[in-house]
Amino acid sequence: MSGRDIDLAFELEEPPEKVWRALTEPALLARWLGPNDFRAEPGAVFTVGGAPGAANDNATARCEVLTLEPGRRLRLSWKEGVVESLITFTLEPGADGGSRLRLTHDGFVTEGGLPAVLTMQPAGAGDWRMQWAA
Amino acid sequence: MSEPDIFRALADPTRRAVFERLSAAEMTVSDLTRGFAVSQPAISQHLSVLKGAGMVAERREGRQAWYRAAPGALDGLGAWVARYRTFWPERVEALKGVLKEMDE
Repeated sequence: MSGRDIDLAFELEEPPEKVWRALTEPALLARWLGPNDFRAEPGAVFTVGGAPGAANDNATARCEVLTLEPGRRLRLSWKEGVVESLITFTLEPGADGGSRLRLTHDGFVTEGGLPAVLTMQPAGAGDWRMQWAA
Repeated sequence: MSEPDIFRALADPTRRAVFERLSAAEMTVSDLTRGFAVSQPAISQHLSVLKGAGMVAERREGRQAWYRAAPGALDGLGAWVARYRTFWPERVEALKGVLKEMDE
């Protein structure tokens, strides 16, 4: 991961199964993330409102469910404006019947599918071609 | 320079490559054109967009213009990501509230 990627961890008091519901039931998701038409199935395309945008803080992110491992892992593509990125929620059992939520937001690319300069490596002398990190 | 300008400037693959070359060395339009299968006017147009976004600086030496990546040209990208760095912890705080209110 590059230094600009977001990688956060949170301790929650509720067990993974309960947190999973809050991540994947549209009505619950709407209460903490934003208005959405999420569907808990791989390949589902949906939107989420209230995202930080290039122009304002009420942008709409266009998303797709990439990975869905019930109770464990939810991976989404997240496109806002001309920027595409990836968001991963990972759940593990935590202390005292709670859970540990890891949230990563990375893979920032500009429109067109090539990784953004966020992950660009400096070009070596005599070789100006970009080293696009995966 | 604003963040959307930077993303738009970098959305074109040739323009990204022009920017990358200018990050490594100061060059003239002729220098730049040699590395690409596009015309000099096309390169000049890309330079114009990059300059407009504040990402490339121009230096005049006689009749020759030299271009290089502007210092801090990519700071706006960091700012965009930084907003999400604030956004997610706020959302997770809201998530904690929702979890408290949920039925078992």
